[in-house]
Order: sequence, then structure tokens, then C-alpha cells
Amino acid sequence: MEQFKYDDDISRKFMAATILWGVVGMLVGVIIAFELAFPKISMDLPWLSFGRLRPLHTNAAIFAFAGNGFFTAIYYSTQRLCKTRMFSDKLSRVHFWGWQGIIVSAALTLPLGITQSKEYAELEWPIDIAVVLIWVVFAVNFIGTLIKRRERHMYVALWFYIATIVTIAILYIFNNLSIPASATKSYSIYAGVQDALMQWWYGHNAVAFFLTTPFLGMMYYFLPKAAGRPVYSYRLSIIHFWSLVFIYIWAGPHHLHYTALPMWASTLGMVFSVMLWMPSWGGMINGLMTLRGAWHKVAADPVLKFFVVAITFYGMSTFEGPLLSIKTVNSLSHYTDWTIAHVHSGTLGWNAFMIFGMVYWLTPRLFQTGKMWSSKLTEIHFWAGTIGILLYVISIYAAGLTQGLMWRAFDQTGNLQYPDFVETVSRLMPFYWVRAVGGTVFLVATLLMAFNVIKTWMMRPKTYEEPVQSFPALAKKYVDPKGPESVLETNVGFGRRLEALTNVVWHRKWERLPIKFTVWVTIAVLIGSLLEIIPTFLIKSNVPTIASVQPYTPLELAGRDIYIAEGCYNCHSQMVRPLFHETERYGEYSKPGEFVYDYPFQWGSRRIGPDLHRVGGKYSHDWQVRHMENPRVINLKSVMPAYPWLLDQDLDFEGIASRVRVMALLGVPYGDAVSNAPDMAREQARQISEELIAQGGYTDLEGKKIIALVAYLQRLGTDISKPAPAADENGGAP
Amino acid sequence: MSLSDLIGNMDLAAYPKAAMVIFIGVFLLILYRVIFKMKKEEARDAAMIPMMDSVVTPNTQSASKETVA
Repeated sequence: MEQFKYDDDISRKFMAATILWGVVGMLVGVIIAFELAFPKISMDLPWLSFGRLRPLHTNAAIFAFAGNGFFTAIYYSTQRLCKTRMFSDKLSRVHFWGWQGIIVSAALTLPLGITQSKEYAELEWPIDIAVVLIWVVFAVNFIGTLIKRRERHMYVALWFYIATIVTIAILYIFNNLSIPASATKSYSIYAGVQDALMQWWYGHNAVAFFLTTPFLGMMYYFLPKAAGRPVYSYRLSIIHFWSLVFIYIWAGPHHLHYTALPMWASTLGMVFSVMLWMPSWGGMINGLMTLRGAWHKVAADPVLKFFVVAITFYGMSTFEGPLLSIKTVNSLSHYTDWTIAHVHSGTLGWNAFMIFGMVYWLTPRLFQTGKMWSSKLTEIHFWAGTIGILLYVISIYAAGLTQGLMWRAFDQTGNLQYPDFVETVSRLMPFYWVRAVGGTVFLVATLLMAFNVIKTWMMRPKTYEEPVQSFPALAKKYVDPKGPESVLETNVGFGRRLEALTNVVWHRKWERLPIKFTVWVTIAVLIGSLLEIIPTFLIKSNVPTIASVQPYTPLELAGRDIYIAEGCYNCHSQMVRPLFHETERYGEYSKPGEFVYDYPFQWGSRRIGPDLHRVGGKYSHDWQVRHMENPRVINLKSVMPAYPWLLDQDLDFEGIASRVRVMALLGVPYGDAVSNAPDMAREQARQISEELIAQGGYTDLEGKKIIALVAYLQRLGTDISKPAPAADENGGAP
Repeated sequence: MSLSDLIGNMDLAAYPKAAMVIFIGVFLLILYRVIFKMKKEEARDAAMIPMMDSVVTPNTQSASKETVA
């Protein structure tokens, strides 16, 4: 027998971080919910504006709250499922403190406008490198623990953890490949259509492998523990695992229906998304059926209540996801708040409630108090949290449907019924208020949990008992249980191998071989990824060249970077879909070839404001400046933040040079602009400033950031209607 | 002929079809394994792992994290 102790201190640390960052992430979410309902509360402060805070909210919710939540679960359950202490206490601590450092870095940089603008991948390159390094530390520690385990069979929860670790590493590295232009600015190596595919391959699978697979592992461990009975069907869990891992990775392109993404990729994403319904519901059924014969416990045990609601929301979200991936449904739902409601039914209902259930189950055990400080407060949290979710998602489903239907409504004369976009925004105000109240209720409920956990922590013993566990080590040599004798009389060589294959002996072996298992998970994930990504990158006909599309001028590039820093993509798309109501509202639909110099793409995923792809030349410079200075001067009902600082802050003309050089490195034909970008930018700024003054606008903006942003906005979507220019002698852009 | 030309000239429909065949093949094998080749006891034992993850010895040791008794 070997004796050892579990390391529960690391689980306590991660659990505390989960609660702390959960409150922070939800608080930021509540702030931006109120900003939409009442824009003035941002007080015109740059770091409080919606575009900068929304990425902070999503990153905090995903990587800080959910991330720390499933790390708590992994550190607690892996040791017990492997019947061993973690591979290295030191690596556990490096992982913990490194991850918290990354979160703090994100919390500091995102409000400052330091962002890559790729959703859920906004963090700039130095932080990306830190994420990868810390993830490697985590992976080494986890795999090391699997290798030194004392339980021969790897329980299915561990499979889900393996899939998480491998796939997130692949997704994160490939989506974040970029070339730095400075310590705080980089450009994605992908542009336009390719970048969009990479981003949503990442974005969708971040949901799959950061918010789903680790939580399924959590479900397969903590639900049986809380219910006091094993999982309903272990066989179903195996089918659930492989089909989920294999199918999920293909589904990303459903985020790009009717965009400039090639039709075949979009259809492929849809088909696999619909197929995804089956394994998802297999998992949900397995979870709920685990409670067979134990439903009486649910009424009495708040932990089980949280788990039941979480699994129910998982079922609802994973039914709705495939529904939303169907093209015709997507044409209505995409860019509307329907997507936001879908996401929050998943994150609040599934992820947060799984975490809450786990916290309430773990707290008395980790702090060795035997029970929570107040079980009544736990009950109140459950009901308040549930009401908060319902207020949030029902109001935002209504908002999304209203938006989608108003955008496509035509009157009896054949014209758009709501041609002024702001009409469709102001109609949503009651829903936005209800959402803000629902979010606040959910936040307050979470604060109750924090209070309850702190009070329970205060009841802890002076020193924690560390029980010594006794389990035998695994025998060095393991012989598989003998299978049935071969029925083939002269079965040798190839015949034996074939028989072993059809007997599926290999899978039984994988289940106890962590490295081989990890390799096969990697292969399953890569098959889907490569068969989608390679054709999109290599087939030229996917992105037909448009001769009149030229690179952005140095000043426009600087303006584009301001657009990215202010997070404009959080509210505005740059993608006119080939739908009649869209071309009527915005103009000609967007073509793949129009985005070949967009590093990174700015198609967006949501329209709180109108699409901007054809906004170039639609308004005067003066209109743009005054609109940015205070949108409500132009349109009283606008919910857009004001950006007065753009009229005060100087543009760093010299800094444009390094950005143009990186663009040239990426293959953008800048020609002479590489060597004299600052001068070219100054000259264009002078011209725009003169035009602005001629229009009756401000006279002192020539060197300000707003001029660069105006230059960019006035360029958007205009190349398509210009004649193709003749190439200059240097092969660069005219 | 470059790789881009080679893949560019292929029928795009082949990719999703190939993927579908791979998926269905693997799926059927896994299904076969769990339905026909997995013994009831094997599944039951595996499902019980979380329920038996703690065996505390009566003689509580105070010092080392991992010892061989």
C-alpha cells in the first residue's frame, strides 16, 4: 500500500479566485447592461465606454470565472480519480498565480483599449504568450498526474479534461498567431475571410472546449458524488465523449452564414451543428438520469437543485444552438440580441450554476466545517439566481426577435418599414432595462454566495486535517483480461490484427493509456479543423480578387487601429449580407475580395448600431466628427457612447511607420508607403482637416486621433465602386 | 503544380463527404465497442470510480506527502 495526501489547498485557492472573479465579471456585465439602457453613466470616460468594457466582461466571465471554476474542479477531482496527489505542487502554484496574473493583465489592458479585437481572443501578444506558457505548465502537471495515478482505468471525466487541455492549446495558438508592431499592438497573420474562419473556429470551440467539455467532466464527477449514486450509463458517456469531441470542432462556420465565407464552409458548419444536438442531449440525459430514484433528494439539497437547473439549461442551450445554425433561422437571429440571450442561457444557466453547485458541495469539505454557514442563504441564492436568469434571457430573447423582425420589415409600398436604425434600438429599451435588473439580481445572488462562503470559511478549524489515503500502486506490468478465444482455426498475423480491430480491444487499452488517449483526441480534433481550414486557405476561388480594392493608406490604417482600440466591432458589423432588407438598408452586399487587407477582420457579430461596411462617403467629415464627439447631438435616441477624447488626443504619426512595416511584412503591397508612412499620413490629415473646415467643422483637429478615424470610416466599402487603378512602378498601392 | 492548385482543382464536396465517412466509421466502432464489447461489470466498475476515491488510514501521518508503507 502507498500512502499520500490530497492537495486541497490548491482547490481552495482556485475556488476563492472563482468567486472573486465571478463577482467582478458579473459586475462589469451589469455596468454595460445599464450603459445600453442609460448611456450617460459611462460619464464619457474612455475606460468606462461600452466598447472597451464588453471584452473585459466576456474575458472575465469566460477565462476568470469559468476558467478558475473548472480548474477548481480539475484539481479536486483529478487527484481523487487518479488516487494520487498532483504531479507537482510547485507547478500547481505556478499555474494558479500565473493564471491570476494573466487575468489582472487583461483587466488592466482591455479598458485601456489594448486589444486584438478578436472576440474572446482580445488579449495582446505578450499576454497571449503568458497564457500559452501557463497552459503548458497546467498540461504538464495534469498529464504527469495521470501517469503516476493509482487507478488503472481513466474515468470519463478525465477524458473531458484531456480534450479541454489539448484543444484549447491548439485553438489558442493558431488563432492568436500575429506579428507585433509594438509592445501593445500586433496584427493577425490572417486577413478577411481566412481570419473570420480562424476566429470562429476558435470562438465557437472556445465555447465547446472551455465552457462545455470541462463542465461535462465536472458533471460526471460532482453529480454522482452529490447524488450518492454512479452515473446513469457509463456506456452512454463514452459515446457522448467521442461524438461531442469529433463533431464540435466542425461547427464554427455557422457563425458566418450569409457572409463572405464560401457557401460550402458555411453549409458544412450547419450540418455538423445540427448533428451536435445528439451527443449534447446524450450528455444531458445521462446527467438527469443519474438522479433516477434520487429525485426526492433534489427537493432537500440545494447542490442538486443547482446541478439539475444547470443540466436543464445545458439541454436547452444545446437544442437552441443547432436551431440557430440553420441558415434560415440564422438569417433572422444573427447580429441580434437573440445570440446574446442564447449565450447567457448557457453561461448563466449551465456554467455558473454548475460552478455554484460545485462550490456549495466543496465548501464544507474543503474548509472542513461539515456544512455551509447558512443553508437558507443557499436556497435564496438558488431562487434569486434562477429568477435573475429568467429575467435576463426572456427579455433579451424578446429584444432579439423584435430587432430581427424590425430590420426585415417592409411596408405596403415595398420600402423598409423602419429605415432609421435608431427606431429599432429605442424599441428595445424596456427589454434592456429588464435585462439590467435580471443581471443585477443574479449578481446580488452571487454576492450572497460569496458572503455565505466567507462565513463558512470563518468556521474552519485552526489547522486543516489532512487525511492520509492508502491505495496500492499500479502493477508495473499489466496484462489485459483475456478476451474470447479466436473462432478462426488458422488465425495468424494479419487475421489476428483484423480480429483485434473488430473486437475494439484498442479502445479498452486507450482508456488506461493517457498519452495514447491524448494523441487520439488530438487527431479527432485536427481532422475537423484541417478539412475546413486548408481548403479555405488554399483555394483561390474562395476569395476572388477585386482589382479596385487597395490597401488602407497609412492614416486610414491608424484610424482602423483606433476603431479596434475603442471596440467599435462590439456594436457594429462590417458585413452586408446578400439579403434584400440588408441591401435596401445598407447598399451592395459585401464581397470576399473586399477584405483581403483587413488584418484582422472587423465583420463583428452584433448590431447594437448599424452595419458600417458601406458607410464610407455616406456622411460628411463634419457629421462624423460631431457624431463621435456626442452621438446624441446628431440623434437624440442614440445609445452610442461619446468619444470626446478622440478630439483631444494627439495622433502618433511616427508610430504609424512600424505598423505599415508589419503590414508590408504580411504581404500588403505598400510600396513607397513603407519608407514614408508618417509623411503620407500627415498629408492626408491636412487634406481631411481642410475639407472639414470647408464643411463648417472644427479648425484644430489636424493632428488629432479623430481625423484618422474619419479617414478610415470614409474609406469603408468604397473601393468596390472605384475603377481599378494602374499599378505603380514599384508594385505598390497608388 | 502547387499544393494550392492541387486542392483548388479538387471537388469541394469531397471534403465534407470524407469527413462524414470518417466520423460515421469511428462512431460506429465506438458504438460497437460500448454495446457489444463492453462487459456490464466493466462499465459498472468504471462508473463507481468517483464513489470510491477516498480510503483513509487510521494511523494519520503528519509529515510526507507521498510515502510507501
